[in-house]
Amino acid sequence: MTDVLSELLPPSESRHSLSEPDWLHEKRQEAGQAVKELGFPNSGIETWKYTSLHRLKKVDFRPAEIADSTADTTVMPKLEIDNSKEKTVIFINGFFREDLGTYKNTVAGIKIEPLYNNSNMLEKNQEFISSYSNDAFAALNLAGFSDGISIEVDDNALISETIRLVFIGEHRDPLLRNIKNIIQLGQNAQLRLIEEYRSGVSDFGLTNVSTNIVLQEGARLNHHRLQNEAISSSQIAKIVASVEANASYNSDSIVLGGQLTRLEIDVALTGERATCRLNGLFSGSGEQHIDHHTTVRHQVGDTHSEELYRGILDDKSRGVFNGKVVVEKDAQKITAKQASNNLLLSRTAEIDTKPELQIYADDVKCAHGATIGQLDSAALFYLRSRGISEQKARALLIFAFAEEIINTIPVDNLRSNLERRFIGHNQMSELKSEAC
Amino acid sequence: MASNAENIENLVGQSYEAGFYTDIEQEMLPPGLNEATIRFISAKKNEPEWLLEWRLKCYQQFLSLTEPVWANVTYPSIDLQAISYYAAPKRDEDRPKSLDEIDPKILETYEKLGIPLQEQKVLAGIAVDIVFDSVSVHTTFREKLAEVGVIFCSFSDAVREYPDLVRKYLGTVVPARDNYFSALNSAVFSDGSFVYIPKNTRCPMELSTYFRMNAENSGQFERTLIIADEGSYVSYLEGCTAPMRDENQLHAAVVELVTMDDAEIKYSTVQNWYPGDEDGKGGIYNFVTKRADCRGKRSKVSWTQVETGSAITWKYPSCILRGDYSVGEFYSVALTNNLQQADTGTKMVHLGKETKSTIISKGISAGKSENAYRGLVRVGGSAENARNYTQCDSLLLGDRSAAHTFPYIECKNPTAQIEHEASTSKISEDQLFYLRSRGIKQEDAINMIVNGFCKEVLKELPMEFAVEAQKLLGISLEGSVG
Repeated sequence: MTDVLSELLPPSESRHSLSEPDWLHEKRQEAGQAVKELGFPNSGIETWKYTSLHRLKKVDFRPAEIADSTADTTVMPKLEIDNSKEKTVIFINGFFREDLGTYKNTVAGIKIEPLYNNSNMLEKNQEFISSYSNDAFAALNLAGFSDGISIEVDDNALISETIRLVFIGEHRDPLLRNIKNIIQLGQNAQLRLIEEYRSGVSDFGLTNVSTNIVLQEGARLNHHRLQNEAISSSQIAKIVASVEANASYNSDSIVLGGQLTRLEIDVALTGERATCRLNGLFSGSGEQHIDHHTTVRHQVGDTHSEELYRGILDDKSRGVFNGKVVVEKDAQKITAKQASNNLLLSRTAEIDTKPELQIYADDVKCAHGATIGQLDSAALFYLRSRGISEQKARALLIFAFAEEIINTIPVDNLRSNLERRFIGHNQMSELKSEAC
Repeated sequence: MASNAENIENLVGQSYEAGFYTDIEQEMLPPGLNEATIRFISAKKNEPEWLLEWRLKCYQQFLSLTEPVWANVTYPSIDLQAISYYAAPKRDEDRPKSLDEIDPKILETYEKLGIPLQEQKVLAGIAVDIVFDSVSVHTTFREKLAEVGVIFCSFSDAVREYPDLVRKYLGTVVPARDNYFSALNSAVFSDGSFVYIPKNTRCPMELSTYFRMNAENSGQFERTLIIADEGSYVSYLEGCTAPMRDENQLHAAVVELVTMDDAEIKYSTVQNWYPGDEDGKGGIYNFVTKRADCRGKRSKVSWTQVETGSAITWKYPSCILRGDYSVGEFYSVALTNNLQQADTGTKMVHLGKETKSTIISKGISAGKSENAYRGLVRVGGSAENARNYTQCDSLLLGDRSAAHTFPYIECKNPTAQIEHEASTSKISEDQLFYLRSRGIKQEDAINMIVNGFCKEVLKELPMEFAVEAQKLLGISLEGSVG
């Protein structure tokens, strides 16, 4: 039982390595204290209203150690990677494994390193690393992070190769993996990044990941995030992005696996003509719990955002979506669009959605919409009248619902993998031929 | 129903008012809130033992609750011990003697609303020695209601005359523990309205607090209970467009509505209490709990509100759609100007099968005001084929104002269909230019656009109310656009 969150802290006097700078050690101690004071977030906290951690509390986690990074690679999940276009960076149980990935630091304009070895990067991001406000898991992350990735893209560098970060969890003990990532794109730089989370079928771990993204003027990041862990693993993640003038941040969050997944995305548009597009697709079955909290802050005028989240919930799964758009004072000429569409497939599934607008300027065009429903009976009937079995007709309609998000993903093998996932491995080709 | 008819006659007759004055004229409870206060209030009102017990029970609940902080409003904390919970109505000598003593700004507003002089006096709280045409209004009113057996009286009278009805329904819609302000109201409520519509009766007229002359004495903790028995219908109007003079800053009212099978209640509110001056000084805190329980099959409750007054509005008229096929509606216009703050919306809780709800909310923020829509649509597992449609639009006038939307949507039934739409924008330059190019003054053009924006809600109001509400919107916006 881990009734108390502070039990998840590393031993207080331990330093993760000798090279850890003093300020970091101090901040870690402070954060440890904050974890003790804050404890597990409960449903009385607005942002945790719909997400209960009672299952997590029952698990006796222990923080992952460097020794855990040598886990048995033969039981690892199979990765579907297109080696011609993608370079992989692989972490096992929260630790960088240089030997397993195909990425070598030879591509011009980009530098990828384990964060922990990059004291320069740590130093530069002191402020982000040290901040956790009142977020208990962010504090836990700071107090305990073992490693993470640091990605720097030089000014004007257009990286043609897709970088795929794969974080694999696999251990017979329930591990707590604290990971911290920092991604920085220089002026007018461009990068496509896939961030994937996988775990072995017997993994019961909890991944607590915190990512900081900085896009300087004119930079562009396409960020495809895939939660594809085993149904027994859990994840609590936070992404904080700052988007400067003319820069754009495009993010997809696809959640298929995991027992409990909680993802917070907080994007600040800090310069004129900064844009962001947040898309999400989540599909829950069994007793999965999937929670997305997004915030887009329009801090200056002439910034634009778009958001589309779709959820499909079956069995006893529960989905939570909270999308907040904040337009700050004097941030004029804003457009912000947001939509949350949800499909409930079973009597025991539940969705709680809350699209929020907080607007402090007047020359804005903001809109949001939310829908909850089941499969359209007329569409179902139409397909049935064409001789398609009910099961297949349902699968086809669900697929069509998900397709709108999947279609926007410009990475071929990722898209086709998702298509296969959504329609069931075998039915896809059959269906496609039948539908034609 | 003959006895009921007599009762109504007694209630609305002027003898009541007179008696009221002589009885308690010298009574005034010092500020403070404790059990003794509640016992005093109850004793003063000659309440039966069960009601006192209920008040005390609510008071105990109140003590265990804390003031809610989740609303998007800020105000200095309220010292509940500084309020006097029982005050006799003002004696004539203490009232303003004539309209000359009234704030000219208020008079100006009366003028614009076209309120007759005599009514102005009543609204401003001036002692009126001849009860003008309200006597005739009352008489016809009384006869009509008596004919069909409708009960419409003050809450205190209902406790005396119809204790069984009151006891059966009081606190069943808004339970004591519901929230801080409703618990406070339950413990210390002063007076309010009670309405009972018998089975298969269509109330022959619109009931209005405006015509219930003792409404001005309802005080700051008003309690309203309306019961529509099977197959009945009533339209109830609350408040009026004219600004009411009021000395109490905190208003914590509770309204409970109950509808049985096939019954319908239409509840319309126009709220225009003092919003404070341009610097946000003074003004009423309006913290109201309003809830309807649609107990019966095919029952319906429709809330319509036009909220333009009060420094702070904290109000969520709700519907519990318990009966199968029941319908809940919420139409709202909330306008804030200067430093006003409003956090208002609705809750639609779908429990019965085939229940439907519609939410249309229009928020207008001008000046430096904050205007928030906060709503909940909850569909329980048993609510087969529940249907909700929500539309909340915000209009921003001026770059110092703020508009927020906080819709909570919770769904546990796959057959439910829920749609929510919201938009926020300022007045379109094109529309404004079009009207201006037709020779319409800037201010009138804006009024016209604002009225168009609110049309969907205003058309739900009873006719006379709608006309006044339109004028009111214009007046409330005065000076907000340059």
